[in-house]
Amino acid sequence: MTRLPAIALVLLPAFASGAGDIRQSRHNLSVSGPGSVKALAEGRSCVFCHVAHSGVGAGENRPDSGVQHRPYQSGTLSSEAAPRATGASRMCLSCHDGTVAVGRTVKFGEIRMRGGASGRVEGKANLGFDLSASHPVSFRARHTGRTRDPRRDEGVPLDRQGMVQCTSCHDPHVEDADPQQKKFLVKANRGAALCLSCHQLPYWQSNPASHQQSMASPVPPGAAPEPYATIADNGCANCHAMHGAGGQSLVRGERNQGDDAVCLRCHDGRVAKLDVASEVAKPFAHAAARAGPSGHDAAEGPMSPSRPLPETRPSQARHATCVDCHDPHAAANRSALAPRAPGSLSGVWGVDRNGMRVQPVNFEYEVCFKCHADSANQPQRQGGALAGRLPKRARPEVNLRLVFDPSSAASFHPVVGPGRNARMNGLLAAPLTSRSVVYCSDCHSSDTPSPRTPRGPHGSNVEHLLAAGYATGGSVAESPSAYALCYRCHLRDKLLSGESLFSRAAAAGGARESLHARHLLVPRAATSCSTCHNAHGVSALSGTPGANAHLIDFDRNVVGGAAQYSAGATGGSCTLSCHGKEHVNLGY
Amino acid sequence: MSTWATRTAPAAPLRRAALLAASVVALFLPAAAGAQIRNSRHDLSSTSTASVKAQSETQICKFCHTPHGAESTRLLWNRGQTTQAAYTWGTPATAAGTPLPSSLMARSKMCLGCHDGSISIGSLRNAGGGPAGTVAITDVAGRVAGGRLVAGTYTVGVGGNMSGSHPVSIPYAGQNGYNGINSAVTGAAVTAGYRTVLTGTTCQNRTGICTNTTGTSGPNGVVIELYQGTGGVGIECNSCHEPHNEYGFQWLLRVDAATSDNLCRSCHTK
Repeated sequence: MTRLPAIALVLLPAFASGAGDIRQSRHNLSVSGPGSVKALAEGRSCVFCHVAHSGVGAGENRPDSGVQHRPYQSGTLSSEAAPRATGASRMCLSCHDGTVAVGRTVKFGEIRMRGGASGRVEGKANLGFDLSASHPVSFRARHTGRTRDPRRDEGVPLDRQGMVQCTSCHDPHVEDADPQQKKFLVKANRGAALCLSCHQLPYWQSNPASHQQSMASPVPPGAAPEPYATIADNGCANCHAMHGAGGQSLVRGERNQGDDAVCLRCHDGRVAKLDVASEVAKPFAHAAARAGPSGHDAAEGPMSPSRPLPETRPSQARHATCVDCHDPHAAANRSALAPRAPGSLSGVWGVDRNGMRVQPVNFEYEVCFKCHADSANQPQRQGGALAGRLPKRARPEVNLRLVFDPSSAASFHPVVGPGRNARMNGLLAAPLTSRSVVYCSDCHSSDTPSPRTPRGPHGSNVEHLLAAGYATGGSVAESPSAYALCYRCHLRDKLLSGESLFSRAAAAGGARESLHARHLLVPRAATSCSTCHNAHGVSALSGTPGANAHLIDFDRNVVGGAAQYSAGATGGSCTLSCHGKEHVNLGY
Repeated sequence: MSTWATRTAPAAPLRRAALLAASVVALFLPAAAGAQIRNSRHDLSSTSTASVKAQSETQICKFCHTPHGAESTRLLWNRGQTTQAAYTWGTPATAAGTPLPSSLMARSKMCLGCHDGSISIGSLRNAGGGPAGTVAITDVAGRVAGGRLVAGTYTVGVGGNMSGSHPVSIPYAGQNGYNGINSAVTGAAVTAGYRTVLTGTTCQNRTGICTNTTGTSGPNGVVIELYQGTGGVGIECNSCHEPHNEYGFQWLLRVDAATSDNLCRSCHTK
């Protein structure tokens, strides 16, 4: 074999190095490395991890860190991580748990590094022993529908045992396969392409979720930029961190900021159009505490032994977080007609009218029933201060699933199905009729609606998170604002006129006398709607269609005596004592 | 690799020319091509500067080759193969899933006869004048005892344990992206004699097949060589090592691995 051509070629200038191999990466720990962590003199980069002979395992040159790591835990995790990092992950953690000096090798001993010090990885690259805030490694995924093994052509390699390792997401030899994010990712994670190689989100692409499509900036003005410029491109990384995640489910942020912090960072009108943050800051709101865990857990549900929801024990803490009602992987801007769930509730699970778990919810009330139906820890059950401020019903029922059940409840507002009273037409604001169905959030929502205010029960200045005024008690001066909530649907001028069915023929003939007006306007009575009506309804356990039609369920704080109502075919009669006035089978 | 005989004799004039040219560009070459076995670690003659050597035998070639009485005409091999029947790797397969063999190809077993310590270095088919015999080797503490390598610096696969070593007698991946190997040809196109080359844009091998050449400067024409095995073309000890010190690199390698990554990167385009 001749040498001449070989030597001639040596005289040619060195070829420009190809972009993106070990030499250009910060894992080139040799003296020629581009990073700050590098050897004093060692010219080789392979040897920091590999050796041809006398290594451990398959030519591995990294000593074992020897520590037990604390792996990621989640109630929804169905796979079991190995108790110790195995395979390539063992090698990675040899440096990245901060235990073994970067320059220490099995075969060549200690390679002297620049800077002296301990030679251990410091800063964010030091993951430490506690890996509970990192995506798990060294496990074989047990797929339960939300994950899958990546296809070979997706470039997200499992190891030969089918295990997820550090090297599934990171190619330690190529730093910039994702030119935006770098981080040695195996491929560009634009649009979460890397994450979605394993994780299946049923509504993310098919729905499609607003977060999947949003062209908005992933960060509020002034915040440090994200790897990608739009929420759509930034993908999972908008909310999740694979290392150093502060919240549950690898959610970003600090735990002491509260579970909603990651959402409200954008949903305060600065990035997302609607200002949820201002709403949940109101005195009556569905919001997680501003600090500490909310109690929400992704594993909660009717079948969860440790996290039953609806709650089964009065002692269980109640919680409300954004993700109790919204699935950020599915929520989309799509309107619907009551009682159908709008796009904002896409994908979430709920409790249907029969008390069964349903996912995704079909109807808005199924979301509400998660906490306001069978839950054993509703404060109204517990008595206390709240109970004192509520109308006192004969047989209160806080299970709203029973209260609104159109097949059994005595009477009810038409939330689950159309109401019982077929003679409402003309008394309701158009286009409502006797056949209409309304949302829970038609009454429970913001008291300051605007184009920048989200629909739904996020927060209100009105107690019970009501959309408008609703005065209760025995002595209330009627006004459009006192019962503004009711008058949104029940036309005030009709209600207080003889057109209302709760009326009687005038003594002198002419127009019928409104008995609503008599109870609400006459100063001696001047009582609240809630004195006679139960705004939600009367369940089969609390009343009968005869005695509790038309939501009649007297407030025992105001009404004494027998406090009985009897509905007839076209009218009804009352036997009760109120304001010192006795009604005995007084009819209308 | 070709036989030792064809490697040297016909190319001698060219080699002289090469050495002359090499001296011109010596500054650019970290290791001069055209090194020789004399005084390399494979120079086992008593006059060698190596530490492991014969007590009185002055010949060099005979420790592996003999013109007569060889074990086989092929390579005129003057030694027995290792007596180790099977090898283990501590793991059944590579990280990429290539199964690791328990029985190795003869080409690697030739090396392992000495290097796994199973056969005396001086045990030859033709120890001199025809009959088999044993040339006496000087004991060196920690390296040679009773004529055999003892576990340590120079051994690989002692007791059949190959754990922690680069696999041999495994097929060359020959497919792009597999285990970092970036090959210009794949599958069946990779044949015996196929060599990966580190530098240059012109193939410097016998078959005209090259891998992608993404390397930076290095000793051009110094190549990893692949060998025909059962079930395809594969890696043997000689793929990385050139036992005659032809290239003058430490550990008798074909490419420098003492100061650079060039050897590894000849195949693994990481």
